[in-house]
Amino acid sequence: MSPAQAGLLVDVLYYRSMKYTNYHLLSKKYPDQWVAVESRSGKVVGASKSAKLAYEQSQTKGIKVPLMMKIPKEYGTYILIASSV
Amino acid sequence: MAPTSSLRVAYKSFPATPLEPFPNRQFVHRPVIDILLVFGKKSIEYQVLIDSGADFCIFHTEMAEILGIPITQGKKMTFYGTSGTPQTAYFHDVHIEVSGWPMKLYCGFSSDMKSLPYGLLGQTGFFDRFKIEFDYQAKRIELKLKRQ
Repeated sequence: MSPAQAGLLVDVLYYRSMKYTNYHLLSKKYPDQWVAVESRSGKVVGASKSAKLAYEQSQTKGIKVPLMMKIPKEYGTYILIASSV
Repeated sequence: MAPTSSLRVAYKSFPATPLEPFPNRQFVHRPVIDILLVFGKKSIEYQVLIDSGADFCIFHTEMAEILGIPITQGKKMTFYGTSGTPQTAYFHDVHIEVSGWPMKLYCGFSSDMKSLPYGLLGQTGFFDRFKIEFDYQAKRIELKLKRQ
């Protein structure tokens, strides 16, 4: 049982800061691609225009649960809504 | 009163180019979190934006393909973004974990998300399960889960 499941206050800010991801580098190196990342190390273990191919590359490297990220050419500006009407 | 749990997560900062109205802009800070997305025996981590402007939760169709979800067997819905262009999503039950909190989620998968780097966690399915506080100055989001 995780601390969160146990009902404890969990502050993951420190944990997240340790999981530093260099988005600048990723967008330079893998624009418009899906990358599979080993989430503990932040290491890229798969990259392709196809998310499934990037995922399969991660599997062959033994990373069973990768972090899948779509890397844009640039992170741009969004105003997001998703409405049914 | 039902017991609650709290979780604090940091905004993520992404590189951004300066714009004419925002010439000093170098980063954008967004309430994006990593979730674990589970279907059957497969799971992946995935980045999602906590988006109060989204009526529903919508993820990239590529995630469904990886997890083996039979996409078009889901319930079909047309939705619209700011451009007004109709987009299509197919809804399925999946499981997610938010920093260790497991929960069921009824979410849409859409192939019209290609220009977006994140999935969207919207009102139905996510905001209706949490009390959510956004603290932009501290770059922190606090999620309070009401046990059901």
